[in-house]
Amino acid sequence: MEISAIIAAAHELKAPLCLIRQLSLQLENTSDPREIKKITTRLKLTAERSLRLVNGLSRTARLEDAFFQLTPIDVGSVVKDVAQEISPLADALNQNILVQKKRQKLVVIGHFDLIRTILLGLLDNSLTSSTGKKIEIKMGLRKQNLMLTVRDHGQAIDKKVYENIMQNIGKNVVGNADRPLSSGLGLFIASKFTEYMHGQIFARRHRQGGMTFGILLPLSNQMELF
Amino acid sequence: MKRVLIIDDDEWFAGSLKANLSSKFRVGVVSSATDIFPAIEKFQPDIILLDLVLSGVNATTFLNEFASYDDMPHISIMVMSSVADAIKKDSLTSLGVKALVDKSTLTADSLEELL
Repeated sequence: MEISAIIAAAHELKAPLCLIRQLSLQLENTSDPREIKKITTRLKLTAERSLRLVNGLSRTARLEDAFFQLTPIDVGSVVKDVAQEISPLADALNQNILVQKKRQKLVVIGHFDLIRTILLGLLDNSLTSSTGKKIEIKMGLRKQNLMLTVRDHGQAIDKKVYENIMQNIGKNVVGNADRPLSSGLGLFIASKFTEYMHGQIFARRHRQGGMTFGILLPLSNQMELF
Repeated sequence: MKRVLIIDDDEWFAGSLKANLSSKFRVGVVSSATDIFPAIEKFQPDIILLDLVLSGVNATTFLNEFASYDDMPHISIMVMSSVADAIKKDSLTSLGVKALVDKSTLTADSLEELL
């Protein structure tokens, strides 16, 4: 990882630590049980978000060693696992995660943990950026690929900001000036993992607001076996 | 008690900071760019704590606009950031910023020392 990316990652990881510190100071000075519960929930969720980023970062460093074996993965099971894990954060942020139901099993050649990390990162970004009340996860087929998307209904993204993201995706850790709470590091990690699985990451901005981030992953020939 | 207006779109951070500063200051919070000037009008702060990176607002644009108003010279603007150590303070001073505050060390006591 280049030095500039390391610096960007360090800066990005500092923000949740500043929040954890303020929450801890607040906890020291309150005795209201409801307030204590709210603060400790936020401490836990913030620490978990940071740990996900750090874990993703360390996994990125191991990609070059071909540490992760690619096998047929039922993406629906990953989506279900992730939706469950992220639901406390969604509740705390008053957001609904809507998962599109699919009858057919959609199987890709990939790695469960890598796909999981990608989806968690995209959802984390959407949750912290969305001003709407819902985040939608959808799966579909596009030629020989599975398309997995996360759509939020947050602030509209400026065209220049969007172009900057697209130019740097996978190359640098860049923030989203229109969504300062979202993670450029998370997007960088997602793009590296997608590339490792011979897939593609993409983003679309929507005129009425919000963004869709998604990945395309090669379908498994073994789909009919599931 | 001096009045501090926090301008930060991270609601958890802003809410927690408000609670922590309330021991020594009267504190208000604004999280949306469109609400900033109405909030200043209504709350009449002595100090503004402005997050450097705010959704929908370019800090330089805001600071220039703020400086253009004649009826707010008594308000001290302090910019806060979690990466304050990577920012050149001189570039902010020329925009009328009184102090650059590091979010990682910010407390009611440290803010009081800056005044």
